[in-house]
Amino acid sequence: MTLQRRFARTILGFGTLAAVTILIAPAIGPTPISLARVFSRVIPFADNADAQIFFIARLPRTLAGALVGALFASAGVVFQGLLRNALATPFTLGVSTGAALGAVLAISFNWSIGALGISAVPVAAFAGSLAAVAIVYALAQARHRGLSTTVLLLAGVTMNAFFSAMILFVQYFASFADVYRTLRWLMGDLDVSSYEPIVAALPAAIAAFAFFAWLARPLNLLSLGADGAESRGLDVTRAQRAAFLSASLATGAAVTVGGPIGFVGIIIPHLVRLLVGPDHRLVLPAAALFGAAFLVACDVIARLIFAPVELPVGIITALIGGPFFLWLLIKKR
Amino acid sequence: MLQASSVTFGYDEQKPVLRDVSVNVPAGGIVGILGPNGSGKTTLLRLLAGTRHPQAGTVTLDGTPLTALSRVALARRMAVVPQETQLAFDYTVAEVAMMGRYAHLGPFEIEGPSDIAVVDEALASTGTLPLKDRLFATLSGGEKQRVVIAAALAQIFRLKPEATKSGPGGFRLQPEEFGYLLLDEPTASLDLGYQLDVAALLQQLHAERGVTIVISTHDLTLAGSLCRRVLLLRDGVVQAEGPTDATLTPHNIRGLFGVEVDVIRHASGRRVLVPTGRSARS
Repeated sequence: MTLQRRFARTILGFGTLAAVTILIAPAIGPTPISLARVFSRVIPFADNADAQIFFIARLPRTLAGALVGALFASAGVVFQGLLRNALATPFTLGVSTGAALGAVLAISFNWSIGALGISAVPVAAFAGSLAAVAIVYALAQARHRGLSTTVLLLAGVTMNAFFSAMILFVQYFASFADVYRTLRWLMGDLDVSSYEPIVAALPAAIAAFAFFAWLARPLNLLSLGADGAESRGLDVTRAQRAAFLSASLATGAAVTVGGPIGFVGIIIPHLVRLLVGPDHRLVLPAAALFGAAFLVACDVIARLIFAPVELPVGIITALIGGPFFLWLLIKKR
Repeated sequence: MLQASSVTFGYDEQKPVLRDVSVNVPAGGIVGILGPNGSGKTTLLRLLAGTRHPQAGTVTLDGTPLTALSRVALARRMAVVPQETQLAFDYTVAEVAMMGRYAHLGPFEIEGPSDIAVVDEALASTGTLPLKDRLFATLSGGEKQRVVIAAALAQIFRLKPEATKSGPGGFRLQPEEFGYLLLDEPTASLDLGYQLDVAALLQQLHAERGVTIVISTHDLTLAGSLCRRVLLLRDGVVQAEGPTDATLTPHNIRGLFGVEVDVIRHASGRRVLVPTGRSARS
């Protein structure tokens, strides 16, 4: 089968999955709503509780889940291709936590950008993930044959511990209410209840996806190693920089919206490779779509399992992803 | 003609790995770079391939310095086969060979029927077409090396401009004019049988396809039977260079490896070097 047809089938399959999940998710919740009432033109919006639940409480949350899931899953693919290691993800490398530190700093000290009064949270999250990625980059440069799993995991553990300690340090100076809010967000929470955070993260997300589209072929070559890729005509340094930068952008954007939700970046790429093979031109779009569907579905579970209490979705992904990660580690040759 | 003129290079500029090395690879030739481990063979190949640039001296392809050529332009004419290839993910043989077409496609271009024809042809000419749908990681060392050579051929093959409808897929193929294949100890990690396979394959590609071959090795037999010219490299300095028979002499081998050899004329007419023992240390 030609790549064109495999591509079309992949997009159609995973696209349908994502679309169906995103359409169904807002209709499900502890409070039953009638879709007929939600879309009724007779009842004014102010009096329509069903429409309010649908459009204000659940739809933004679903869309946020889709965006964050797509970003984490595809950033995972990029990190794995870049570092030639299937266990590399924004979360395991400590990049998510770096972004979280940036965001926590911006929130706690109420930073804003210049006279515009725009929140500095997305920018700070990006700066945090970039700082974490710079450390990973330095490690990868020092060992140009690719990071061994041991080095990678140790680096990730160290960076997570370091950035977490910094976050706690910042929290030490915050008020009780702020600490509670930040803690919830750090668990990975999609409780956005407005479209504003999604819109704020969108420019970075779009830029990251544009980079990813270009990176698909270079990432294929990079799995040969730097020398092999270079001799086949790839500008390796440029591709690596583009990959590190765009994966940081994606992680920063995702963390701004949903906090450092873990394990999406490892479960999804792995399953997608089993289904469509390793070609990044198929893996990247498939992982983005599947990641969106997966996180939205996890969030539905998080909302329902202890209803009316809504769990942070990060707990659900960790419950699924933790054992999955260990299984991968054991299975790895 | 691929030419290195008085190149000096070190990964750390204070410690040169190569000093004042010159080598000429005529189009259509087979040149061997011979030397013990750590003599700078791999580094010299990297300079010839343009993935590293010398700190002094120049490397030129048909008179143009490699630094003046784009990576893509260079990749279309020159392919590198490393000693071993390990992939990060489970690609199939066909996907690995298709990676050779990178330099022939635009940033978002998807490989077309002509690229698939080139890849099939390259796999066929290395005898690996039946392995096309296998996972690369499941192959034996010798099979892997033949597939990597196929990927290299796919990289330097091109369609004949007037692509007549006579080949199996409707395309006629030929190597890019004077395509260069640079191999870095391609047999060093292979069993004897596979070593002979790869040597025979290279011989055939040279004879039938006109592929120019540069091969680094510490295998005297391989260099003696395959190469027209050899360059002897020791501690980053050229010890001798010239036609194979005139250069692979007991005297030169002693200087290179510290080993005594007898030169024997085999019944096949081939000149064979037989190591007999360690040289007395001077």
